[in-house]
Amino acid sequence: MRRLALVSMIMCAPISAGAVSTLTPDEAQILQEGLIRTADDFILPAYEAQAFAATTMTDLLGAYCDGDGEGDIEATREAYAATFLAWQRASVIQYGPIAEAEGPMRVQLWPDPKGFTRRAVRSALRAEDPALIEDGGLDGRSIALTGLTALEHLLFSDLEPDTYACDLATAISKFQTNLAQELVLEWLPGSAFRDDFDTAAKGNARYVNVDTVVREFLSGSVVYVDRLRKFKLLRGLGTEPGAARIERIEARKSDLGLQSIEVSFRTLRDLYDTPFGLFDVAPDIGGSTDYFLLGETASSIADTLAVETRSLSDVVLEDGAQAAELRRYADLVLYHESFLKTGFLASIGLSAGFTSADGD
Amino acid sequence: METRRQFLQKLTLALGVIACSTRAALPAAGARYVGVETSAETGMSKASFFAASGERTKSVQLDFRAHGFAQHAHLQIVFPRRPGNRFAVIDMRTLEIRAVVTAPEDRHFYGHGAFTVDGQHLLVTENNLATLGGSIGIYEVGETIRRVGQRDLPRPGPHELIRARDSDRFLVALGGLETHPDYGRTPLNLDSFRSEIVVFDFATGTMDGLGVWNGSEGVSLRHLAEDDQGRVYVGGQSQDRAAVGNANVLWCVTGDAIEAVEIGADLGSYVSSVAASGSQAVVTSKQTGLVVTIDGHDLVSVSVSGIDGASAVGLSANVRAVSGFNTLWINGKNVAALTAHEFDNHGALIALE
Repeated sequence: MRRLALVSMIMCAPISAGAVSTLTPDEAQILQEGLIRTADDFILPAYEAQAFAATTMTDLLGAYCDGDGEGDIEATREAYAATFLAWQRASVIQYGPIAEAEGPMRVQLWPDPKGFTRRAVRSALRAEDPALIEDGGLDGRSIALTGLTALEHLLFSDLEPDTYACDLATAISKFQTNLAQELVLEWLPGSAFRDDFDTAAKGNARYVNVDTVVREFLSGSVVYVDRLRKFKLLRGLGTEPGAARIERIEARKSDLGLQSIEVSFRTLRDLYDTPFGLFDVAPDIGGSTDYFLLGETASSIADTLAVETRSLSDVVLEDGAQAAELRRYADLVLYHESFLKTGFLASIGLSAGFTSADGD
Repeated sequence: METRRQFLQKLTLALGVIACSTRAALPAAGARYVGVETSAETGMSKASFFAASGERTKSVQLDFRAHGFAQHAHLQIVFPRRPGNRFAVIDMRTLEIRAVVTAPEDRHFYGHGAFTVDGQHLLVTENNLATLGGSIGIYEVGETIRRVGQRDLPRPGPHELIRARDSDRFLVALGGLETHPDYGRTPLNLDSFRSEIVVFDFATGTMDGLGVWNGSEGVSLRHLAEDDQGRVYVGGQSQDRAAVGNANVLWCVTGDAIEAVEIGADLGSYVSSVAASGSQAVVTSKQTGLVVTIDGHDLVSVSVSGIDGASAVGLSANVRAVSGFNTLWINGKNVAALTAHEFDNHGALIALE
């Protein structure tokens, strides 16, 4: 028989009671309010834009695949581009509901050096399983088959209306639409997640304090800038002239790689600059103002890329001055990484917690 | 005037004194606990040794991010955090790195391993990158440490591996999740994975599983410890709290009987570390900061650690240590992490020869 020998709630170490925070209640509340503004004015709009773009894409794909001649594949591809780029913005939030299950790769499985996506799509097209293209048929299926990378594979090939491939593309698009809409719902004020997020400073079942939220949020941002540098920039370009490899760039079929980089830099600026958001309120409690300069630099890079007429494929193939400039941008991303990983947290007196951010 | 013989005798004596002094001042002297401190700037770790009093003995710089430990006699192995592919061998007499061992090209380590009783072999959990299957790498320990074999495991994602007391039976927490470093830490089989504990008998080569059990669905079993009564404590993790809710993540295995340990407090679906000494085990959760002491299924205490991110545990009759992100609490003393460093979620007591 199980016996409760002794249950005690005692302090192991004389630091402070309850969940540990080095923040005063007032400081915690200031950060809490900054987080709420970030959620309302940056996170939620980012997911809403993604959901809107995905819905449009699904409607256009449905019309195209019906085969009645009313669809427009180019318009559909543009809608894909809008969805893809909206995700590049929303994916700075590698925290909260999107981090559940397989995480952000539910939306975009890339890089995919093992070719899981290609194999999953090929296998599905070969099998033509009708269950896959039914409503909800992709639920619980491999992320290699249900993400934007798989959809790009189909959409930027010879996708014919009234075919299984077209129906599969539509099913993937619906899956992504549903996912984006769920993310919107979970971030809406009043949802269970938002209730916990909004009250973290007081402690609740999900968060012992606001420190945890700040840490996890920034930890996700670190992943984002790390991906920007290592994957979006350097994976295809390599670290030096002669090391560029076109087959390694992002979104090669849709040729959205350079726009993806541009959006990523602009996203960083917008995240930092959210009025009364997390970074904006932190100086009130002694937080670093480095975000301002970092944001300006990121914005300047995004502006430069916005007027670039060549695609990332062109830049990589040429491997010239523009490639060198992009490699320089990769070096600049390290400043963002350092700021998000430790600089910002240290300035408000929090430990980063990076050692446990990735489990094990 | 001194003769040459008298001079040499004095010199010999003096050198002996110097030698003795040097021995007494060896950096290993007094080290009772080793933890991992990782630099936020470089991502590289140090293996940091501490006396029972909390005094730092020495920090050994590593050129990888470290995780778990295994010790036999004067050899201290420091394993890399997943997906590292090198482990370091530290000589406990000098606290110097004696060797660094690299995994085969198609493998990486999971961060844990253990020696056989005689110390002649080291067993290490590995990921086969070609199949994403789990395996145990077997290394022969001599003047050098070299890989001499491997044993495939029935599931992917092996994590902590411990040796049973006084025998060469090894228990492996098979997390069940397929991962590949090219895809970060994304689980590639989340929709279908199951986790279990397997027992590998090194002497006979047999492998028996405890099988999957009800209540562990959606939980990846990661950490293990065995107490002096042969009871095995199993800690699991779930990063999908939305899916598993407040599912149990702590079990006690006695023989073939597996029972959930009900602690009446929230571990946040996440056990960071488990250590056992005598008939008790200590379990931590960095998610909720709890430090839970249990005796079999019996709850002894639930403590709010007061340590930010309570994770690593070291436990013996004389030493009790818990560390969080930036504080090591050892025998009642708080020790701050090195500047711009954080403690990892594993530490180990140092066995005295």
